[in-house]
Amino acid sequence: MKHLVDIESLSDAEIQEILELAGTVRRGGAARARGPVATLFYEPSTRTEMSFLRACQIVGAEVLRLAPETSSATKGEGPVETVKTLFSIGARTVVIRTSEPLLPRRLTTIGPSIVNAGDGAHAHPTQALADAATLMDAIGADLSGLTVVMAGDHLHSRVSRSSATLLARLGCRVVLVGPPSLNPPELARALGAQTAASLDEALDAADVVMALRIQRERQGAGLVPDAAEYRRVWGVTEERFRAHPHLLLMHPGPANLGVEVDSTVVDDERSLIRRQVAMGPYIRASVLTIVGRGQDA
Amino acid sequence: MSEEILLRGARVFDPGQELDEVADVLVADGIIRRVGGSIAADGAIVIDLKGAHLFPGFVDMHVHLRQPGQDAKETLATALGAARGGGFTAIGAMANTKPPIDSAAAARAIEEAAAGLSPIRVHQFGSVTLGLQGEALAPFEAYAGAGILAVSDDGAPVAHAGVMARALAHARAAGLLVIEHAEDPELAGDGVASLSESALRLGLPTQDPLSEAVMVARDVLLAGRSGARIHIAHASTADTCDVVAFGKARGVAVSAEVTPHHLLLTDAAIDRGTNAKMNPPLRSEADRRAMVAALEAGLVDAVATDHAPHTADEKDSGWLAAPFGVSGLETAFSVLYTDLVRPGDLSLGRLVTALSSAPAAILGIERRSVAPGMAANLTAVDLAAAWTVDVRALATKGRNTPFAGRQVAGRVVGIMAGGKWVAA
Repeated sequence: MKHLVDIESLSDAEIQEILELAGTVRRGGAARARGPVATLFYEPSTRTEMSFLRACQIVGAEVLRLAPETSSATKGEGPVETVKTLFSIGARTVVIRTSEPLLPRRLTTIGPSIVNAGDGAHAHPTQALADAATLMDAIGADLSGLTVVMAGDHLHSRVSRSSATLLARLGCRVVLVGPPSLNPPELARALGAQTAASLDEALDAADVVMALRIQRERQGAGLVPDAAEYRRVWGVTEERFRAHPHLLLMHPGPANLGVEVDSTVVDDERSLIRRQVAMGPYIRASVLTIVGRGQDA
Repeated sequence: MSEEILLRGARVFDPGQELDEVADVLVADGIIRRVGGSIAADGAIVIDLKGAHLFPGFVDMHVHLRQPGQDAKETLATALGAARGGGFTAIGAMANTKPPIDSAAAARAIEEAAAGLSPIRVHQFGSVTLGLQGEALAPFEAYAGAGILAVSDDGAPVAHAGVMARALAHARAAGLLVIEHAEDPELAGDGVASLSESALRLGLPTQDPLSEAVMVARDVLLAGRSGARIHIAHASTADTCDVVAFGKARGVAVSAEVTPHHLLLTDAAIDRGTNAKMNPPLRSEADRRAMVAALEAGLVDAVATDHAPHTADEKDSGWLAAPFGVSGLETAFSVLYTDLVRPGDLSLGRLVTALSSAPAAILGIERRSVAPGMAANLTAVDLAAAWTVDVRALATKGRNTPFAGRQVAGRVVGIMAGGKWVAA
């Protein structure tokens, strides 16, 4: 495996390899990246970029950090040219975050390993892998039969696509709920997930609820109700969380507290949110190591 | 020029006359003089067409010539070369050029430049609105006076219903056909693909497929009131077919065309990249089947390519940025013959009619018929000849075809247009 562009491109064996090596790294085992890693984040990101930078430290990779806002991208240079330049400079892996769906796949023919750190609404595979690893850490390696409810804006969410796809492949029953305009049934079908009419109906059978970030700008487009209405219908509120005493909470972050999730439940002992963040560098260290091995193939 | 040309030995296939027999065709001064069993050459130039089919001349009423202003995408010479390769004897050119064609003089300039290059007749359409801005109407009477046949803002719909109502009334008075790119702008939004499992999986912004039929419904009702002739460009959904059927049942002068790509490909093809990005976007398999059935039934009248060449750099700029459109002139007949006629999903007669006499009748140009006294617009095709779609070998500059690499049957041998025989 030389690239990681989306979950669909991974074989079952590759998924297991990534998860197992992440566990090894987390227990202090050695993992080494093959060469310099460049990060190319066309969209602002705190946790994903920091998580990759920490991963580079773990695997001993030198980092070339390109900030597009101070680079030739401002002069109109396209990402293909930029990645060619990074490869010529010596980068052997390029970690890319972009608003353009499918751009990482387009870059895989250039030379360096491409690791997708989020491409538009398409995919965020390392987040999905970190989520799966977090769940396995919390409840055990076998996720089959687990019911995971994902609540929010699926239409614009790369996290929803990648996590739903991966969890469904690992045997979970994945249920997507959210405002109808943001949760088309065709999307759930495409991801191997189900839909439910309401969050309350879905939570009755749920083991885990993953709240998704609702983007405020969608309200202006008339796609979602106002924040109070959203919280009442689709939010993981304190009342809902208490009413389901065995329910675990996840959120890919950053959260709108008091909208899709109440601040009082984020730090509850049944919340896995901090553990998701903590798992990120180990998963990404594992991915950087494995794509480095793939460079010889 | 009383030049006589004898087209010898082809199997003359003209569904309008239920004609399907090997015959010679004698042409003089651009007019078919005789169609018969064995005609003596008698000094005529002889073109040997044994083994080929001879059809009424093909007409593509939906082409983007990219002239003026977009030489990197296509020139008149390359477009006419592509039309020749595809067997087209006449083409209709859309007005969304740079600058847009919104005057009779600009339209005539293209037609005259094309006439100097090729006997293939170019019918340049004028825009509906000045500058394609969707507001003020272009000079319809001046268009009509200069022999312009149709108006269209294709590339974009006439978004405002009031503007369309006025355009149809003026077009009726001027005798112009209105060709509509039917797409409700709000339902289509910024979508680059039709709403489907495959597009949603890829995270692409999607268009509501009803954006087309909603607009067709508006236009059919408006055209019915004014009595104008309206033609639905690149119809692509079952709902659109239903609305067109409603219009025809009411006696509205509505016609429709469908492209080869909407007859052959579905949203499943978008995974292959931006050469499957066009507007309207590829639809569902149910829609594709409905379009084939509607074409066979004659509900959809014509096949048109929506030939839309772009540069490779433009098409390589990603799913969001890449322009809509595919090249289609050179592959249209062959891909449809190979994938629809040969398997039995579409009759050869309907395909030939939809490529020849039907668009000619919609535009009101010379009838396409292989009969004495008719203008000699003819297309010869060797149905048995197999070839591979090699984008480097195409005449068009636009290598943006989703059929690249396809093995197809049916190779155009040549055309007769403007009194001349032109080998493909």
